[in-house]
Amino acid sequence: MAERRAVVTIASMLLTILLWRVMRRVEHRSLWGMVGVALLASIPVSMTYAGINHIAFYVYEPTVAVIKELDGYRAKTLSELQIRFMMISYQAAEWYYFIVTWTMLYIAVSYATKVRRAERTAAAYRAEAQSAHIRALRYQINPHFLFNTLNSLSTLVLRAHTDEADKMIVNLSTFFRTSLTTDPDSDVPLADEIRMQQLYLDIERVRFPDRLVVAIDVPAELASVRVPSLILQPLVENALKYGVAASSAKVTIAIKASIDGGNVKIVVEDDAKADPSRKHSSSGTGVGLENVRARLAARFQGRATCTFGPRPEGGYRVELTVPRFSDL
Amino acid sequence: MVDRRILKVLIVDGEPLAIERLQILCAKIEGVSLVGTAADGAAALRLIEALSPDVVLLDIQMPGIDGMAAARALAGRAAHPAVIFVTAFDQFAVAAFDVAATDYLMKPVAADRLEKALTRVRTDVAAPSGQKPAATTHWIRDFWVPNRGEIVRVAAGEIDFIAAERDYMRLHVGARSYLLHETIAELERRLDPEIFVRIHRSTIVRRGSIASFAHDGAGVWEAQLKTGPKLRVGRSYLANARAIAGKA
Repeated sequence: MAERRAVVTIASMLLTILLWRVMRRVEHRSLWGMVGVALLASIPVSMTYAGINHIAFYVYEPTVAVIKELDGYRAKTLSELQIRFMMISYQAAEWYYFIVTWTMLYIAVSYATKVRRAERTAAAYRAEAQSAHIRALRYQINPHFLFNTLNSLSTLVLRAHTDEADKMIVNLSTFFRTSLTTDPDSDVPLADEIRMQQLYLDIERVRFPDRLVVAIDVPAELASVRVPSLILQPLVENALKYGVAASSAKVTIAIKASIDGGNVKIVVEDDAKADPSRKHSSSGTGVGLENVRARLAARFQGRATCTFGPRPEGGYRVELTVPRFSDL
Repeated sequence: MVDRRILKVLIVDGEPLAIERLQILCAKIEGVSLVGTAADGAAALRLIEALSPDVVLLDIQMPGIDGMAAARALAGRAAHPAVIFVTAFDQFAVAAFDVAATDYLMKPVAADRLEKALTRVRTDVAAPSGQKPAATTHWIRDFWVPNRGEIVRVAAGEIDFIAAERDYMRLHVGARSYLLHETIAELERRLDPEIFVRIHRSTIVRRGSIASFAHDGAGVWEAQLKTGPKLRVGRSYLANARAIAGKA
């Protein structure tokens, strides 16, 4: 008797494992989809279980009580097949509810886990997006830039250089309007981002008329590549702050883009002669570059890179790679 | 008593247009003579040596030796010009208490504000050298702190107490307070111990502002300030408090 019970128990365990594997396969479906599969899959499982149970207790060396029970049915002029089918069906129906209940419990637990996991992922993403948002906002208004520009502008006015002053006011307005109306979490076409930096550098050229040279090389085919808005701003700002403003010689700031496999490589570099203070000011540079790195990570999840360092021939170089075709 | 002597001014700024602006403004002020301009700290120090100006209008952000570093280098010299800092933007007080600045101006500098600063230089020059704060005293005499878009002077003697606030120190002056980017250890080291006393891991109090000490029975002592606030005395600073209470 004990052996038979053991066989039935092992068989039911195997059936449960089978059902579990089926349910795991449909875990990605909607809640109602999973319930549907559970209701259907429980039918063959309960049938099979009832079949095995029947063979173990009613076919294989039946006990005296069982033989009596069977004889009782036979007396009601039912065929052997009808009797067996009836008994198995009864038992299957009984067990069906039990198995469905078990499966529903499984769905409830796995669904709760799924919800919790989704919540955690969403929270982590929200936190990352929020800090990226704050970092991006930081580049919308740089007070140093604003007040230094107003200062230069005031000089142009005092000197009655009205055309230059007017041009600078228009550039400054366009720059601020564009950066303030751009959603800091959004992507922009590379062409727009470059135009923005061009505008910024045009303003800075008035501040450093004899020292700043700008070289931009972006192929037309890369104009529509999407990048996070103002992602180049800290790089250009750094080149200006540690390259141009920190040097009394002429400095070229170059912005270049090129195709690199499935990626686009964007380089911002300057050729300021070796300035010993630049290494010491790496902490200042570091914050800006870390922000860029974190924003790229939040946006492209490891499919973008940011590398930087001094150039052997003098100056500094920052290289970004972003996917050429990114999903939105 | 205002000195009628011509003030010799040196302008130091990294940007040509910024220099030009101050030149134009200075030209409109009577009794001021521009003796030179420099684009970085190193050039400024050379020109100060050569021209011995009375006052330097010094930009803080500059290539190489910045304005703050140049002013520090000056502080070590026997005779040095008055320093007026000119800056575009400062979110927190600059740690400039080791530099005797006459004033802080924000760019773009308003003409009357520049004139006021230069008048202050004259008053300082006219003052007897005994009152003139020399670099000889190690203790901080005043702080320059941002306040509503300006940088204002707060004399150390006006401060009631200083409390640590995350990475910053908050200077409490009556009902006002200002944030300073500095550590409490550095402030404790640089404030005259005759005037200030540390009573907690995160609090320094001006002795003169303490009204009394009281304890709540559970061994916790508090300093009652004349201006109202009660400040907790840290266990390891009880000796400091006792010394004051004994004196009072």
